[in-house]
Amino acid sequence: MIAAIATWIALGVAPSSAQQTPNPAPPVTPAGPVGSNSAAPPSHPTPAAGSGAGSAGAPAIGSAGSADAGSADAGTAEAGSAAAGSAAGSGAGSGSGSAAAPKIEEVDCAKYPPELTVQVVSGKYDIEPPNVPLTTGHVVKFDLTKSNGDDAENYPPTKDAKDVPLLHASPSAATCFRYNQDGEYKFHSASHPIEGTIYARAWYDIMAEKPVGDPDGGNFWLPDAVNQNANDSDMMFMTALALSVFFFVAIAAVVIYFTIKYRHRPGHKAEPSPAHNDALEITWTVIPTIIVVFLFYYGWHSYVQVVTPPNKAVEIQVQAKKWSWNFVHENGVSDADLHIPANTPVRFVMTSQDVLHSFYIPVMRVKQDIVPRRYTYAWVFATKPGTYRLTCAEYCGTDHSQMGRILQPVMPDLPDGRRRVVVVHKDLAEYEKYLEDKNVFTGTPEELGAKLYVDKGCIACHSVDGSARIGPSWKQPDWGKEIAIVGGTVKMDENYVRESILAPQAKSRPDFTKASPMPVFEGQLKESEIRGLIAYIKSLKQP
Amino acid sequence: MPTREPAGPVTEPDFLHCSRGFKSWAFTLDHKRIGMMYLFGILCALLLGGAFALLLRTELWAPGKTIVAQDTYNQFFTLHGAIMVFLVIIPGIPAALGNIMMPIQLGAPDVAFPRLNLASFYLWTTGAIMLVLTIPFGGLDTGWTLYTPYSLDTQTAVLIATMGVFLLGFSSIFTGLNFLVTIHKFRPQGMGWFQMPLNVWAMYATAIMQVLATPVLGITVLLLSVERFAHIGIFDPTLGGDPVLFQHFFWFYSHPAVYIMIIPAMGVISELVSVFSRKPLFGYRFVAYSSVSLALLSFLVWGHHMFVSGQSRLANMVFSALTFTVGIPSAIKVFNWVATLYKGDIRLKTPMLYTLSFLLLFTIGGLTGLFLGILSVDVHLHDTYFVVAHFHYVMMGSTIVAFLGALHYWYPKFTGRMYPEQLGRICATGVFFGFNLTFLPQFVMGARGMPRRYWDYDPQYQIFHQLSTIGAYVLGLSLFTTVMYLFWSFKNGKKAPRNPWGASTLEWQAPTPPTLYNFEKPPVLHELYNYDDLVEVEPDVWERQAPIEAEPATADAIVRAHGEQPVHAAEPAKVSAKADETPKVEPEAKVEPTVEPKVEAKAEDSKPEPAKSEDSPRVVDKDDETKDEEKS
Repeated sequence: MIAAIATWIALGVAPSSAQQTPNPAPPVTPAGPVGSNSAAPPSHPTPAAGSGAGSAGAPAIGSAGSADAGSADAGTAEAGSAAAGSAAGSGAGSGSGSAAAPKIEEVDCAKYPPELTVQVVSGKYDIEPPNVPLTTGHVVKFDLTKSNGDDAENYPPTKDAKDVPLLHASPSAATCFRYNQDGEYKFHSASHPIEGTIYARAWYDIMAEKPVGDPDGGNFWLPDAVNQNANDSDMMFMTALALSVFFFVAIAAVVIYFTIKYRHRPGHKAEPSPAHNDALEITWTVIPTIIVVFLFYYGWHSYVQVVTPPNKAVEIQVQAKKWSWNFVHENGVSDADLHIPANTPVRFVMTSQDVLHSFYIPVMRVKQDIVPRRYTYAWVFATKPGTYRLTCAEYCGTDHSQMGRILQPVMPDLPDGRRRVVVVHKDLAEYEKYLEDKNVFTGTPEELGAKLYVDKGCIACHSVDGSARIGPSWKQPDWGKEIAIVGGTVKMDENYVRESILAPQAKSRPDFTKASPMPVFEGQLKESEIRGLIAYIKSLKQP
Repeated sequence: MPTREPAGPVTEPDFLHCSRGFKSWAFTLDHKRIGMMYLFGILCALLLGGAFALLLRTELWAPGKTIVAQDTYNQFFTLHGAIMVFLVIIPGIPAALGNIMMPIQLGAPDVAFPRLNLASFYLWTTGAIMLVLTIPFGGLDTGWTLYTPYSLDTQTAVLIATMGVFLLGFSSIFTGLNFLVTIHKFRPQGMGWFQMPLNVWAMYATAIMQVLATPVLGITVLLLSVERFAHIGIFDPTLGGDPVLFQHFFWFYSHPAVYIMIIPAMGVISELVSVFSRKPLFGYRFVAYSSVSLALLSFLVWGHHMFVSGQSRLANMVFSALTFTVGIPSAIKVFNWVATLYKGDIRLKTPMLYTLSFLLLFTIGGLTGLFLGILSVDVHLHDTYFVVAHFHYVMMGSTIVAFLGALHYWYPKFTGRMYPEQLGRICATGVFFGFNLTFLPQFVMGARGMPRRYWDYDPQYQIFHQLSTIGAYVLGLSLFTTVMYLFWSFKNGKKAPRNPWGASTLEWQAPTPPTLYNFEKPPVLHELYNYDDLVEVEPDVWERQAPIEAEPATADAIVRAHGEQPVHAAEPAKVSAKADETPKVEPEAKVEPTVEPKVEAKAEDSKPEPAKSEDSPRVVDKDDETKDEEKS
């Protein structure tokens, strides 16, 4: 039996090592010099058409309306809803697409060195559908050129149409694809008996999937803390432990010694001894008093440290509910894993949506109950990058012990799912990179545009109801028609709107020349955001 | 009501046999019978609560599901906690052993309000049944603490449970009220406050807390119930209520409740350590005062359960400071008990083994309390297994161990039978080692960050959980065996003498088992905790051999209650003379403890040699005691 073996060769960056580094892929820019057979990530929602892949369907599947099994939040769905995000969602054509760059795009193998090569050579086709874990932004090279070509007839195409998105690699040449968003991607070749799934995960999620563990160091009782505030409280713990061991051993030794020495045996009688002794009693009153005063004072002192954040701290909103966490960062990014920077004060503002919970990170010695309809606070100064346990310490019902558990049946290397964790990034820069990369708007482009309308301050000068403010209203019934501008006319379309955002003064409209000029947005908006704004303006044209 | 017959002479049958039939128990007003019914109920509850403990420990053998799913596990720990706290530990020493023994220790014929006492028992029974009825009616999964808003959300039988707790609270209040009045009014002439046995002091302190704190629990669970069915918006945050307020209310009761649990234990330990060391208790006055001061201080520290609840920092600071003040009297008590052993003649009977266990376990329980009092450390340890282990050392390791010690100590007196001593010692040892194996690993787990009430856990803790589970089975087996041989000995134990331990408090002057009104003749008040005159005439049979020197006193209260003329015990009534009187024996009560005649005979024999113990050294301590008496 002659067949092909699909061989998976991880080049350089295996998933485990990929965890160490944030996304190294170059940023996608409209003018990016990509290869001859690759479409530039476009300013237009039909990317990657006419790629060299030749076979049915474009490889790039990313714009609005695509049916996408591995939607961006499949990996972050909580236990209850994870199944809903899995592969069967084909045909759900509307609304789930992203305004961001296409999820998969074909790139030039020379310019984007692949992290992984999928190779097919002659041999026996007996492999299971392979599962390939991958970091988003990484490139996979499909090399089907070494096949001896007789497979096609012996092995009919293996795929059924439900497996979307499919990736059809070129049989005649090596093709490279980059996976820009996390999710589950099926692929197969129509001409070769290969099929499989690529699980693209964001670099920060890969960090979160690392096994949690206490840091090395510390002692049997108390592994080292990774929170600077905890040093004093750990010292208090060890002090109390030393005192306790000392007093226990002393008392136990005396009890055992007396019991043996004065045990009853024939002829032994109790000897008279004072029924009280002032000096002794005062001594054993004063010594414990001094000790507890000392313990109280230093306990209080270190407690003040534990609960007093510095004025300038990264602030994260914590929302707890049965039985999951949600962390909202300053730029609006929300995630169920807690990502914080190391060596930076981080303050948590916490509230619960239902019952009491308690935010507890054992290695940081931080714990605070979370109360519905009220805010409570905590803060940390993490000292060591890594992935740590995050637990709920206040009983909250059925899944109290598994709060923040996620079932990810799609992840072959995590068959039992995992818990939500605390990821401490090595510095503020890495944390900010996380915030930026995570900040992928998952709504429709219109929704993104509507959000930006408020967020970017457009609302100050532009109405959406047709009334004129400082600038023209975004409600444009004349869409698609020629409108008057200073010194001529222009067709009101996507290109004009784009230009008016990036360079507003280029083609001013006559009624709006006197007022203070609109700021230039060139270089300040991502391509996806420009697309979103255009889509939003377009959507307003209906009366 | 057949039980209130006037007291008869010596040959009067004991309280177990003076009347028969279901009604004679169900409608009894005798404090001993009520106490024994309590005891029976409490031992059953102990087995039930223990069964839940073993079930939940079994579930924790491995991470994830071992035998049951999450919801069932949550019910296990809730019912374990609720049963053990409300049905076993709180009523354990006061309502059961206190009821049986405290009036006799005072030389009184009964408590001040026998009907209130019976009412208290029926409230307890009803409350207990309601608490157990939650099992068929949907269970209870709130934790014994019933924290809102979870207890408002959950679908389980919270209403039944809160009503049960409400009734149990009233049962506790009735008992406390009864004891307060009894101690104030029923002390015999000559027994000033500082001639009271320390167990009575402890009962007094406990009663104060029961009367003052328990109403708050009643109000709290009532509000919780009303909130649940009428949505009045006091605890429910969605209606503008404050869920943390519930915690304040709850701990305002439940912290004193911790002392309702531990102070009686301290009381009985004070008795036991003295009796089995044959020494007066070191620092009697301090131990007495500390019981009361602990009772009062216990009202001021509830906030230390709430250091991370969102309570203000200032409140945390104050509660932390107050919490440490509670530590000092507790520490000194331990020193006093240890000092009592000094130069004693220590007899390692089962009650003494439990006493020594108590000393070690309470020391651990107290010292680990230091960790939790330190604010910054508590932030880490709160709601972890460290706390679980800490309060088990105090509640189980101290209170239940003291309860078992006291039970073995007084068992011969109120049943008239001895328990099997050797088996008792084996089980006491098993309880000690099983307990430590169960809970020492939990300190480590807690310090390493294992939260409590977890069904599933990180694999790094598995070894500790497994040690703990093995320990729990050793502990469970020991306790089960203990309860079983105690039931068995009730019928089959060998007959107990009047004073098997050589103790000096009044209950040991009563017949074994006591008669209906406890004493066949007014008891003679001897110097408290002075064992010089007591001689072990044969194994486990002690008699007083010296003439009575201490200022004699009659139990006036008894006399009043019996409507007789006061009889001063200073003229030691000759037992034989008394026996000549016509016995007023109820016809059906034919069984008479066979030991009694023997003891009486011995007592007569011993009388001709009065000077014998005059030589015996009664030195310093006695003088001091006498001075104390004068001062008071």
